[in-house]
Amino acid sequence: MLAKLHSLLLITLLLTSNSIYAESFSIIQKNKAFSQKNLTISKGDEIVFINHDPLFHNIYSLDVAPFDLGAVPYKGVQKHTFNKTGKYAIECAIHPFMKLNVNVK
Amino acid sequence: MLTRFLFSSIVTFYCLSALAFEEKPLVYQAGHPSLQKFLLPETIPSPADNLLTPERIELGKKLFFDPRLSGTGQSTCAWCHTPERGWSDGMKTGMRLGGTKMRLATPTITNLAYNKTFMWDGRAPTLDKQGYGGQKQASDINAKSKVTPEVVIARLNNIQGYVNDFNKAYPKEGLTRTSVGKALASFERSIVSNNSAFDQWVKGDKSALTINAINGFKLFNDPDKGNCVICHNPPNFTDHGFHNIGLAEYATENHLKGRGKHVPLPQLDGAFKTPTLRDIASTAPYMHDGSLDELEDVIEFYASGGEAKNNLSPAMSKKLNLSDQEKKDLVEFLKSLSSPKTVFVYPVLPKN
Repeated sequence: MLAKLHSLLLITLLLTSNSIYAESFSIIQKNKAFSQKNLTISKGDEIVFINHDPLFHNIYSLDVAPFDLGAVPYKGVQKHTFNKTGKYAIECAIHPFMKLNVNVK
Repeated sequence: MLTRFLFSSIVTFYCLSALAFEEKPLVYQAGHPSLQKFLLPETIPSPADNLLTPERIELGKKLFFDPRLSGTGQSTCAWCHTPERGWSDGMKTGMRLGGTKMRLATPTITNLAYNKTFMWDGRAPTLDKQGYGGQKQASDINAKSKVTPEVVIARLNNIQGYVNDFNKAYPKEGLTRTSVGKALASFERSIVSNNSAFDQWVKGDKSALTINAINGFKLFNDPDKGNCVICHNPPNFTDHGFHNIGLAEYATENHLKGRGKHVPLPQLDGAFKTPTLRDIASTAPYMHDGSLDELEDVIEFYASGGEAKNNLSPAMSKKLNLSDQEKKDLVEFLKSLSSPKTVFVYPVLPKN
Protein backbone atom coordinates (compact mmCIF):
# COMPACT_ATOMS: atom_id res chain seq x y z
CA MET A 1 0.00 0.00 0.00
CA LEU A 2 2.82 2.34 1.01
CA ALA A 3 4.74 1.42 -2.13
CA LYS A 4 1.71 2.32 -4.28
CA LEU A 5 1.39 5.66 -2.53
CA HIS A 6 5.05 6.42 -3.11
CA SER A 7 4.71 5.43 -6.80
CA LEU A 8 1.71 7.69 -7.20
CA LEU A 9 3.56 10.57 -5.60
CA LEU A 10 6.60 9.99 -7.79
CA ILE A 11 4.48 9.94 -10.96
CA THR A 12 2.85 13.19 -9.88
CA LEU A 13 6.27 14.60 -9.21
CA LEU A 14 7.56 13.66 -12.65
CA LEU A 15 4.49 14.97 -14.45
CA THR A 16 4.49 18.30 -12.66
CA SER A 17 8.24 18.85 -12.86
CA ASN A 18 8.05 19.33 -16.62
CA SER A 19 5.50 22.02 -16.25
CA ILE A 20 5.98 25.28 -18.08
CA TYR A 21 5.27 27.05 -14.79
CA ALA A 22 7.76 28.08 -12.12
CA GLU A 23 9.54 25.18 -10.52
CA SER A 24 10.48 24.28 -7.00
CA PHE A 25 13.91 22.91 -6.07
CA SER A 26 14.85 21.25 -2.82
CA ILE A 27 18.15 21.81 -1.02
CA ILE A 28 18.97 19.81 2.09
CA GLN A 29 21.21 21.08 4.90
CA LYS A 30 23.08 18.04 6.24
CA ASN A 31 26.39 17.71 8.09
CA LYS A 32 26.71 21.50 7.88
CA ALA A 33 26.69 21.52 4.09
CA PHE A 34 24.14 22.17 1.39
CA SER A 35 23.20 19.17 -0.74
CA GLN A 36 24.44 21.08 -3.81
CA LYS A 37 27.13 23.71 -4.24
CA ASN A 38 25.74 25.21 -7.44
CA LEU A 39 22.23 25.48 -8.81
CA THR A 40 20.83 27.17 -11.89
CA ILE A 41 17.16 28.09 -11.85
CA SER A 42 14.78 30.38 -13.68
CA LYS A 43 13.32 33.68 -12.56
CA GLY A 44 10.27 32.99 -10.40
CA ASP A 45 11.48 29.57 -9.25
CA GLU A 46 11.45 28.60 -5.62
CA ILE A 47 14.01 26.81 -3.47
CA VAL A 48 12.86 24.77 -0.50
CA PHE A 49 15.53 24.41 2.21
CA ILE A 50 15.15 21.49 4.62
CA ASN A 51 17.34 21.20 7.72
CA HIS A 52 18.49 17.62 8.40
CA ASP A 53 21.02 18.68 11.08
CA PRO A 54 20.09 18.53 14.78
CA LEU A 55 21.02 22.20 15.23
CA PHE A 56 20.00 25.62 13.93
CA HIS A 57 20.85 26.83 10.46
CA ASN A 58 20.15 30.03 8.56
CA ILE A 59 19.79 31.08 4.94
CA TYR A 60 20.74 34.48 3.62
CA SER A 61 22.22 36.27 0.63
CA LEU A 62 23.40 39.84 0.27
CA ASP A 63 23.36 39.72 -3.54
CA VAL A 64 20.94 41.08 -6.21
CA ALA A 65 17.79 41.02 -4.05
CA PRO A 66 19.10 40.45 -0.51
CA PHE A 67 17.12 38.20 1.81
CA ASP A 68 17.53 36.62 5.23
CA LEU A 69 15.24 33.72 6.10
CA GLY A 70 16.37 33.68 9.73
CA ALA A 71 17.16 30.68 11.90
CA VAL A 72 15.62 27.29 11.24
CA PRO A 73 15.64 24.36 13.72
CA TYR A 74 16.14 20.64 13.09
CA LYS A 75 13.55 19.37 10.59
CA GLY A 76 12.55 22.96 9.81
CA VAL A 77 11.63 24.03 6.27
CA GLN A 78 12.27 27.42 4.65
CA LYS A 79 11.32 28.62 1.19
CA HIS A 80 12.43 31.48 -0.98
CA THR A 81 11.24 32.58 -4.41
CA PHE A 82 13.80 34.25 -6.68
CA ASN A 83 12.09 37.01 -8.63
CA LYS A 84 15.21 38.76 -9.92
CA THR A 85 17.80 37.34 -12.28
CA GLY A 86 21.44 37.28 -11.24
CA LYS A 87 23.98 35.34 -9.23
CA TYR A 88 23.32 34.78 -5.54
CA ALA A 89 25.97 33.63 -3.07
CA ILE A 90 23.93 31.98 -0.33
CA GLU A 91 25.36 31.19 3.10
CA CYS A 92 24.35 30.10 6.55
CA ALA A 93 24.98 33.07 8.85
CA ILE A 94 25.80 30.74 11.75
CA HIS A 95 28.09 28.42 9.76
CA PRO A 96 29.65 30.59 7.01
CA PHE A 97 31.47 27.68 5.39
CA MET A 98 28.08 26.44 4.17
CA LYS A 99 27.87 27.96 0.71
CA LEU A 100 25.45 27.63 -2.21
CA ASN A 101 25.75 29.52 -5.50
CA VAL A 102 22.45 30.09 -7.24
CA ASN A 103 22.31 31.45 -10.78
CA VAL A 104 18.86 32.80 -11.60
CA LYS A 105 18.30 33.16 -15.36
CA MET B 1 1.20 28.14 -8.56
CA LEU B 2 -0.68 24.88 -7.97
CA THR B 3 2.06 22.99 -9.76
CA ARG B 4 4.72 24.52 -7.58
CA PHE B 5 2.69 23.86 -4.45
CA LEU B 6 2.29 20.18 -5.37
CA PHE B 7 5.94 19.79 -6.28
CA SER B 8 7.11 21.58 -3.17
CA SER B 9 4.84 19.50 -0.93
CA ILE B 10 5.96 16.21 -2.43
CA VAL B 11 9.66 17.07 -2.20
CA THR B 12 9.23 18.22 1.37
CA PHE B 13 7.35 15.02 2.23
CA TYR B 14 10.13 12.81 0.86
CA CYS B 15 12.90 14.82 2.46
CA LEU B 16 11.25 14.92 5.85
CA SER B 17 10.22 11.24 5.80
CA ALA B 18 13.91 10.35 5.44
CA LEU B 19 14.61 12.11 8.73
CA ALA B 20 12.88 9.36 10.68
CA PHE B 21 15.73 7.01 9.84
CA GLU B 22 18.56 9.28 10.95
CA GLU B 23 20.22 10.41 14.15
CA LYS B 24 20.48 7.11 15.99
CA PRO B 25 20.53 7.64 19.75
CA LEU B 26 23.80 7.47 21.65
CA VAL B 27 24.43 4.42 23.83
CA TYR B 28 26.46 5.40 26.90
CA GLN B 29 28.72 2.35 27.10
CA ALA B 30 32.50 2.50 26.77
CA GLY B 31 33.53 1.73 23.21
CA HIS B 32 29.99 1.68 21.79
CA PRO B 33 29.84 2.29 18.00
CA SER B 34 27.37 5.15 18.44
CA LEU B 35 30.07 7.13 20.29
CA GLN B 36 32.84 6.82 17.73
CA LYS B 37 31.89 10.08 16.05
CA PHE B 38 33.36 11.82 19.13
CA LEU B 39 36.89 10.70 18.19
CA LEU B 40 39.05 13.04 16.14
CA PRO B 41 40.46 11.68 12.86
CA GLU B 42 43.78 9.85 13.33
CA THR B 43 45.45 11.84 10.55
CA ILE B 44 45.82 15.56 11.16
CA PRO B 45 44.15 17.37 8.26
CA SER B 46 46.13 19.89 6.19
CA PRO B 47 45.44 21.64 2.87
CA ALA B 48 46.80 20.28 -0.42
CA ASP B 49 49.10 23.28 -0.88
CA ASN B 50 50.56 22.94 2.60
CA LEU B 51 50.65 19.26 3.52
CA LEU B 52 52.02 18.58 6.97
CA THR B 53 55.67 17.49 7.08
CA PRO B 54 58.15 17.30 9.99
CA GLU B 55 60.28 20.02 8.35
CA ARG B 56 57.34 22.43 8.12
CA ILE B 57 56.27 21.76 11.70
CA GLU B 58 59.79 22.34 13.06
CA LEU B 59 60.23 25.49 11.02
CA GLY B 60 56.86 26.85 12.16
CA LYS B 61 57.78 26.06 15.75
CA LYS B 62 60.91 28.21 15.51
CA LEU B 63 59.00 31.10 13.96
CA PHE B 64 56.27 30.83 16.60
CA PHE B 65 58.81 31.48 19.36
CA ASP B 66 61.09 33.90 17.51
CA PRO B 67 60.78 37.62 18.39
CA ARG B 68 62.55 38.53 15.14
CA LEU B 69 59.24 37.74 13.42
CA SER B 70 57.67 40.78 15.11
CA GLY B 71 58.13 44.35 13.99
CA THR B 72 59.52 45.39 17.35
CA GLY B 73 61.78 42.35 17.60
CA GLN B 74 60.40 41.82 21.10
CA SER B 75 57.13 39.92 20.75
CA THR B 76 56.25 36.41 19.63
CA CYS B 77 53.15 34.33 18.95
CA ALA B 78 53.91 32.61 22.25
CA TRP B 79 53.59 35.97 24.01
CA CYS B 80 49.86 35.15 24.16
CA HIS B 81 49.74 31.46 23.20
CA THR B 82 51.81 29.82 25.91
CA PRO B 83 52.20 26.03 25.98
CA GLU B 84 52.13 25.87 29.77
CA ARG B 85 48.80 27.75 29.86
CA GLY B 86 46.82 25.58 27.46
CA TRP B 87 48.20 27.60 24.54
CA SER B 88 46.36 30.61 25.90
CA ASP B 89 47.69 33.16 28.43
CA GLY B 90 45.74 32.60 31.62
CA MET B 91 44.56 36.22 31.61
CA LYS B 92 41.04 37.60 31.32
CA THR B 93 41.89 39.28 28.03
CA GLY B 94 45.05 39.42 25.96
CA MET B 95 47.78 41.95 26.58
CA ARG B 96 49.83 43.71 23.93
CA LEU B 97 53.52 44.40 24.19
CA GLY B 98 53.76 47.39 26.49
CA GLY B 99 50.85 46.36 28.65
CA THR B 100 47.80 47.54 26.72
CA LYS B 101 44.87 45.25 27.47
CA MET B 102 42.91 43.85 24.57
CA ARG B 103 39.14 43.39 24.71
CA LEU B 104 39.07 39.71 23.80
CA ALA B 105 40.40 36.68 25.62
CA THR B 106 43.27 34.85 23.97
CA PRO B 107 41.79 31.69 22.43
CA THR B 108 43.68 28.42 22.68
CA ILE B 109 45.32 27.19 19.49
CA THR B 110 44.81 23.53 20.44
CA ASN B 111 43.20 21.46 17.65
CA LEU B 112 43.09 24.31 15.13
CA ALA B 113 43.81 21.71 12.44
CA TYR B 114 40.23 20.50 12.80
CA ASN B 115 38.63 23.96 12.61
CA LYS B 116 36.73 25.45 9.70
CA THR B 117 36.65 29.05 10.95
CA PHE B 118 39.46 31.09 12.51
CA MET B 119 39.71 34.01 14.95
CA TRP B 120 36.89 34.92 17.34
CA ASP B 121 35.09 36.79 14.56
CA GLY B 122 35.96 34.42 11.71
CA ARG B 123 37.84 37.04 9.73
CA ALA B 124 40.61 34.66 8.66
CA PRO B 125 39.32 32.25 5.99
CA THR B 126 42.03 29.63 6.63
CA LEU B 127 44.70 28.89 9.21
CA ASP B 128 47.39 29.63 6.62
CA LYS B 129 45.84 33.02 5.90
CA GLN B 130 45.64 33.71 9.62
CA GLY B 131 49.38 33.14 9.87
CA TYR B 132 49.86 35.53 6.95
CA GLY B 133 47.57 38.23 8.35
CA GLY B 134 48.92 37.90 11.86
CA GLN B 135 52.24 39.29 10.70
CA LYS B 136 50.62 42.67 10.14
CA GLN B 137 47.77 42.89 12.65
CA ALA B 138 48.24 45.58 15.28
CA SER B 139 46.60 43.23 17.76
CA ASP B 140 49.04 40.44 17.04
CA ILE B 141 52.79 40.22 17.24
CA ASN B 142 53.41 43.39 15.27
CA ALA B 143 51.85 45.53 17.99
CA LYS B 144 53.03 49.15 18.27
CA SER B 145 55.48 48.72 15.42
CA LYS B 146 55.60 50.61 12.15
CA VAL B 147 57.83 47.96 10.65
CA THR B 148 56.03 46.29 7.75
CA PRO B 149 55.88 42.52 7.26
CA GLU B 150 58.01 42.98 4.14
CA VAL B 151 60.83 44.43 6.27
CA VAL B 152 60.50 41.50 8.67
CA ILE B 153 60.68 39.02 5.78
CA ALA B 154 63.86 40.75 4.54
CA ARG B 155 65.23 40.50 8.08
CA LEU B 156 64.54 36.74 8.19
CA ASN B 157 66.12 36.30 4.75
CA ASN B 158 69.37 37.56 6.25
CA ILE B 159 69.39 34.69 8.73
CA GLN B 160 71.06 31.79 6.94
CA GLY B 161 69.53 29.19 9.26
CA TYR B 162 66.04 30.24 8.23
CA VAL B 163 66.97 30.38 4.54
CA ASN B 164 68.19 26.78 4.83
CA ASP B 165 65.07 25.70 6.73
CA PHE B 166 62.74 27.26 4.16
CA ASN B 167 64.66 25.67 1.31
CA LYS B 168 64.04 22.28 2.93
CA ALA B 169 60.42 22.86 3.97
CA TYR B 170 59.22 24.96 1.02
CA PRO B 171 61.83 24.43 -1.74
CA LYS B 172 59.68 25.93 -4.48
CA GLU B 173 58.52 28.93 -2.46
CA GLY B 174 61.48 30.22 -0.52
CA LEU B 175 61.13 32.54 2.46
CA THR B 176 58.13 34.80 1.82
CA ARG B 177 55.30 36.19 3.87
CA THR B 178 53.07 33.47 2.45
CA SER B 179 55.44 30.62 3.30
CA VAL B 180 55.96 32.06 6.80
CA GLY B 181 52.18 31.91 7.25
CA LYS B 182 52.15 28.34 6.01
CA ALA B 183 54.95 27.28 8.35
CA LEU B 184 53.21 28.86 11.34
CA ALA B 185 49.99 27.07 10.37
CA SER B 186 51.86 23.76 10.10
CA PHE B 187 53.20 24.08 13.63
CA GLU B 188 49.78 25.04 14.94
CA ARG B 189 48.22 22.01 13.23
CA SER B 190 50.63 19.79 15.15
CA ILE B 191 49.18 20.94 18.49
CA VAL B 192 46.58 18.26 19.04
CA SER B 193 44.56 17.08 22.02
CA ASN B 194 43.01 13.70 21.24
CA ASN B 195 44.01 11.44 24.11
CA SER B 196 41.80 12.54 26.97
CA ALA B 197 40.11 10.28 29.51
CA PHE B 198 36.95 10.80 27.49
CA ASP B 199 38.72 9.57 24.31
CA GLN B 200 39.95 6.48 26.16
CA TRP B 201 36.40 5.75 27.33
CA VAL B 202 35.02 6.17 23.82
CA LYS B 203 37.68 3.71 22.63
CA GLY B 204 36.52 1.13 25.17
CA ASP B 205 38.30 1.72 28.50
CA LYS B 206 35.44 1.37 31.01
CA SER B 207 37.55 2.72 33.86
CA ALA B 208 38.55 5.93 32.07
CA LEU B 209 35.49 7.93 33.16
CA THR B 210 33.73 8.17 36.50
CA ILE B 211 30.00 7.60 36.77
CA ASN B 212 29.59 11.32 37.36
CA ALA B 213 31.52 12.22 34.20
CA ILE B 214 29.43 9.78 32.16
CA ASN B 215 26.29 11.32 33.59
CA GLY B 216 27.70 14.74 32.71
CA PHE B 217 28.20 13.52 29.15
CA LYS B 218 24.56 12.41 29.01
CA LEU B 219 23.44 15.82 30.27
CA PHE B 220 25.73 17.47 27.72
CA ASN B 221 23.83 15.72 24.91
CA ASP B 222 20.31 15.75 26.37
CA PRO B 223 18.19 18.39 24.56
CA ASP B 224 16.03 18.74 27.67
CA LYS B 225 18.98 19.22 30.01
CA GLY B 226 22.38 20.71 29.13
CA ASN B 227 21.96 20.55 25.35
CA CYS B 228 25.54 21.81 25.09
CA VAL B 229 26.05 19.61 22.04
CA ILE B 230 23.80 21.84 19.94
CA CYS B 231 26.85 24.13 19.52
CA HIS B 232 29.72 22.02 20.85
CA ASN B 233 29.48 19.28 18.22
CA PRO B 234 31.71 16.20 18.01
CA PRO B 235 34.49 15.48 17.46
CA ASN B 236 36.21 18.78 18.32
CA PHE B 237 33.31 20.04 20.42
CA THR B 238 32.57 23.01 18.20
CA ASP B 239 30.12 23.71 15.37
CA HIS B 240 32.65 26.18 13.89
CA GLY B 241 29.74 28.59 14.07
CA PHE B 242 28.99 32.05 15.45
CA HIS B 243 26.55 32.74 18.26
CA ASN B 244 25.56 35.60 20.52
CA ILE B 245 25.45 33.84 23.88
CA GLY B 246 24.27 36.85 25.89
CA LEU B 247 27.28 37.76 28.00
CA ALA B 248 26.77 40.84 30.19
CA GLU B 249 29.33 42.66 28.03
CA TYR B 250 26.81 42.70 25.16
CA ALA B 251 24.53 44.98 27.17
CA THR B 252 27.19 47.68 27.33
CA GLU B 253 27.05 50.64 24.94
CA ASN B 254 30.33 49.88 23.22
CA HIS B 255 29.89 46.13 23.10
CA LEU B 256 32.06 43.84 21.03
CA LYS B 257 30.59 43.31 17.55
CA GLY B 258 32.19 39.96 16.78
CA ARG B 259 31.01 38.39 13.54
CA GLY B 260 28.65 41.31 13.04
CA LYS B 261 31.63 43.50 12.26
CA HIS B 262 32.14 41.57 9.03
CA VAL B 263 28.63 40.43 8.06
CA PRO B 264 25.84 43.02 8.34
CA LEU B 265 23.12 40.77 9.73
CA PRO B 266 21.41 41.77 13.01
CA GLN B 267 21.67 38.29 14.52
CA LEU B 268 25.47 38.33 14.12
CA ASP B 269 25.94 41.45 16.21
CA GLY B 270 27.86 40.24 19.27
CA ALA B 271 28.21 36.72 17.83
CA PHE B 272 31.51 34.92 18.38
CA LYS B 273 32.96 31.60 17.31
CA THR B 274 32.14 28.50 19.33
CA PRO B 275 35.47 27.43 20.87
CA THR B 276 36.59 23.84 21.24
CA LEU B 277 36.10 22.28 24.66
CA ARG B 278 39.12 20.00 24.40
CA ASP B 279 41.69 20.80 27.10
CA ILE B 280 39.14 23.25 28.49
CA ALA B 281 40.39 22.74 32.06
CA SER B 282 43.70 24.38 31.07
CA THR B 283 42.34 27.55 29.50
CA ALA B 284 40.62 29.52 32.28
CA PRO B 285 39.27 32.16 32.42
CA TYR B 286 36.43 31.47 30.03
CA MET B 287 34.22 33.03 27.33
CA HIS B 288 35.36 35.40 24.58
CA ASP B 289 35.66 38.28 27.03
CA GLY B 290 37.26 36.16 29.75
CA SER B 291 34.51 37.18 32.16
CA LEU B 292 33.99 33.82 33.86
CA ASP B 293 36.71 32.43 36.09
CA GLU B 294 35.76 28.78 36.57
CA LEU B 295 33.97 26.03 34.67
CA GLU B 296 31.34 26.09 37.43
CA ASP B 297 30.65 29.73 36.54
CA VAL B 298 30.23 28.78 32.90
CA ILE B 299 27.63 26.13 33.73
CA GLU B 300 25.77 28.59 35.98
CA PHE B 301 25.81 31.16 33.19
CA TYR B 302 24.26 28.80 30.65
CA ALA B 303 21.80 27.45 33.23
CA SER B 304 20.51 31.00 33.67
CA GLY B 305 19.96 31.35 29.91
CA GLY B 306 22.43 34.20 29.51
CA GLU B 307 22.37 37.80 30.82
CA ALA B 308 21.99 40.14 27.84
CA LYS B 309 19.07 38.43 26.13
CA ASN B 310 18.06 40.90 23.43
CA ASN B 311 19.93 39.20 20.57
CA LEU B 312 20.46 35.64 21.76
CA SER B 313 21.41 32.85 19.41
CA PRO B 314 18.42 30.52 18.83
CA ALA B 315 20.55 27.80 20.39
CA MET B 316 20.31 29.76 23.68
CA SER B 317 16.54 29.72 23.74
CA LYS B 318 15.85 28.62 27.30
CA LYS B 319 17.09 28.30 30.85
CA LEU B 320 18.49 24.90 31.74
CA ASN B 321 16.74 22.63 34.21
CA LEU B 322 19.76 21.30 36.10
CA SER B 323 20.14 20.23 39.73
CA ASP B 324 23.29 21.13 41.67
CA GLN B 325 24.58 17.58 41.26
CA GLU B 326 23.93 17.67 37.52
CA LYS B 327 25.92 20.88 37.24
CA LYS B 328 28.80 19.20 39.05
CA ASP B 329 28.56 16.21 36.73
CA LEU B 330 28.76 18.48 33.69
CA VAL B 331 31.92 20.08 35.06
CA GLU B 332 33.41 16.65 35.71
CA PHE B 333 32.69 15.66 32.14
CA LEU B 334 34.30 18.85 30.81
CA LYS B 335 37.42 18.15 32.87
CA SER B 336 37.61 14.68 31.31
CA LEU B 337 38.26 16.31 27.90
CA SER B 338 41.88 17.17 28.76
CA SER B 339 44.71 15.11 27.31
CA PRO B 340 47.63 14.22 29.60
CA LYS B 341 50.11 17.07 29.90
CA THR B 342 53.48 16.55 28.28
CA VAL B 343 56.71 18.51 28.64
CA PHE B 344 56.99 20.94 25.78
CA VAL B 345 60.43 21.18 24.20
CA TYR B 346 61.23 24.72 23.10
CA PRO B 347 63.02 25.18 19.77
CA VAL B 348 66.61 26.30 19.24
CA LEU B 349 66.44 29.44 17.10
CA PRO B 350 68.80 30.13 14.18
CA LYS B 351 71.59 32.58 14.93
CA ASN B 352 71.71 36.01 13.34
